[in-house]
Amino acid sequence: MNNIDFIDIIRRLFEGITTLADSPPVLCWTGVGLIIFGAVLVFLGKRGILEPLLMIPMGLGMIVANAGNLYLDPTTAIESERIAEARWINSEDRTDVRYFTIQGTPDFAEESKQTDKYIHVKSTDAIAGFLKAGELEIIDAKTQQKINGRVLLQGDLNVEPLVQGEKNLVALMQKDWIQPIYNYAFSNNLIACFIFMGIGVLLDVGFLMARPFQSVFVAFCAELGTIVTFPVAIACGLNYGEAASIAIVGGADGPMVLFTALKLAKDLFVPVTVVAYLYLGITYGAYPFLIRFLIPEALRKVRNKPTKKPIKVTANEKIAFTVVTCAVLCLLFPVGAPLFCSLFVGIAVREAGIQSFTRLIDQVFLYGGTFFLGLILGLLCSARTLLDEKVLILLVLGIFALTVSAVGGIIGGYIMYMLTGRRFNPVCGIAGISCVPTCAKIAQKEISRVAPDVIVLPDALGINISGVITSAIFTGVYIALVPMIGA
Amino acid sequence: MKKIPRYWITGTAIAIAGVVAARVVAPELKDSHSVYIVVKTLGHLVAFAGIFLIARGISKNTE
Repeated sequence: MNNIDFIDIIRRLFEGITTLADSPPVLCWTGVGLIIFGAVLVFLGKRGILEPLLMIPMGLGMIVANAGNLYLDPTTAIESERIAEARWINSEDRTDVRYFTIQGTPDFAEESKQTDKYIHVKSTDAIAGFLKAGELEIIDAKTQQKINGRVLLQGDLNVEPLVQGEKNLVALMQKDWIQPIYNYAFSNNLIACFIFMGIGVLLDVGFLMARPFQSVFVAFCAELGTIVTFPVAIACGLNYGEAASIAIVGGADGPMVLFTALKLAKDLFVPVTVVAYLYLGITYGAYPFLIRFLIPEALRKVRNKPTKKPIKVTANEKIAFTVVTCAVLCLLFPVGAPLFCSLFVGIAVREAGIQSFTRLIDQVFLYGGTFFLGLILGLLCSARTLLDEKVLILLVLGIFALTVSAVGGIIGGYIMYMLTGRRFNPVCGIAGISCVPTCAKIAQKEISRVAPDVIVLPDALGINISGVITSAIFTGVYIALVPMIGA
Repeated sequence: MKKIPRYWITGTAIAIAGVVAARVVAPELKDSHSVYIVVKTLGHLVAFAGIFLIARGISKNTE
C-alpha cells in the first residue's frame, strides 16, 4: 500500500490541469490566455463579426490544443523530434522540474532554465537513450555528482508541426488523430490549393477583361504593403524567408500566406498564418473607417466612367485567356505553379460550365479546405508554438502590411481618378486588396452609404479579381527570389 | 473557320517572347549580373504586357 504514489495518481487523473500548472508560468498563462482567446473567436464567429467558417473551427481547435495537454511517453520526444522540449524531473524533489534546451553545442550541453544548474549529455545517442529509458543517471556539471531523475514530456494528441518524416508520422499516427491530415494535406499545401481552386470557381474574369488597365493598375498599387513590408521586416530582424511570408499578408489572401510561409518560413508558419487570418477578419471591419478617413464624402459620390457600349466577353474568350495566362505565369514562376494551376483550373471549370466539377470544388473542396484549415490552425496554436519572440514583430508587421496595402489601393484609386478626368471613384481602390469578393463589397457598401444610386461593383470586382492574380504573382516572385538572395 | 483576332496572336507571341527572354536568354547572361537582372526583369514585363494586350483587345471587342 505504501508503494502507491497518490500524488502521481492525482496528477494523472487531472492531466489537463496538472500539465498546465506544471508548466513554466509564461507557458501556463499563455495557455490560459489562448483558451480564452479561442472561446472569444468562437463567439465572434457565431456573431458574424469575424468569419464564422474559419473562426469557429479555429477557436475550438485553439481551446483543445491548450487544454488537452497530457504527459506523453518520453519516447515520443524522439519519434516526434521534440527532444528540445523534453523536461527532466529530479526524483528526490519531484516538484522541481527543470527545463532544458539543446543548444547544439559540440558536446550537446543542455542549459537549465535555472541558470545555476547544468546538465551535460555527451552525445545525441546519450540524449536518445536518456529519453527512451525515461530514467538515467546524469551528472550535474557544477557539483559533478550523479543526479537521479526521469524524463517528462508534455504535449497533446493533436498535431505536431515538426513531424516531417514518414517514419515519425507512422509512429505518431496511432495517437495523433489529425496528424495524417496535417502531413498529407496541410503541410504540403494541398488545403491551400483546394481553397484557391474554390476561389477560382467564384471568379468571373470577364470583369477583369472588360476593364484591364484600371483593374491591373489599381491592384498593383494595392500590393504596396507586400512590397514595403519586406525591407521593413528585414530591418526588424527577420530573415528573408520570414520577411517575405509576413509581407505577403499585405496581399490579404490567406491561402497565399500559408503557401509562402510553408515554403519559406516553416518554423514560423503557424504564427504567420494565424496572424494573417485574424487580421483579415479584423481589417474588413476597419477598412470602411480607413476609407472614410482618407476619402472625402464628395469624392465617394463620384460615378465611374461608363463604357461606350456594353462589353461582351464570351466563355470561350475567358477560357482562352485563362489558358494563356496560366501557361505564361507557370513558365515565369514555376515555383508558384501549384497556386496558378489551382486558381486557373477553378476559373476554367466555371467557364466550361462543368456543373458537377463546379459543385465538387465549390461545395466540397472549398468548404472542406476552409474547415480543416481553421481546425488545424487552431490546433497548432498551442502556447509552446506561439511563444516565440518573433510573434510580437509579426503582429505589428501584419497590421502594417494590410494598412499600407489599403492605403496603396486608395492612392491607386486617386491616380485613376485623375487619369480618367475625375470619373473614377477612388473608393474602388480598396478592392485591389485581393480578398474576393469582400473588398469589392466593402467598396460598394461605402459608396452606397453616401450615394445609393452609384453602382461600382463591376469595376470593383474586376480590380478585386486582378488583385488575386497580382497577389499570386507576388507570391511567385518572393518564392523565386528569396532562395536566390539567401533565405 | 472563324478568324482568330489579331490581338490574340500578337499578345501570345509577345508573352512567349517575354518568357524566352526571362527563362532562356537571361540565364545565359549570368556572367554579367546587372545584364542578367535587366534582361530577366524586362522579360517578365514583356510577358505581362503580352497578357495585358490580349485583355485590352478583348475589352475593345464591344457589340
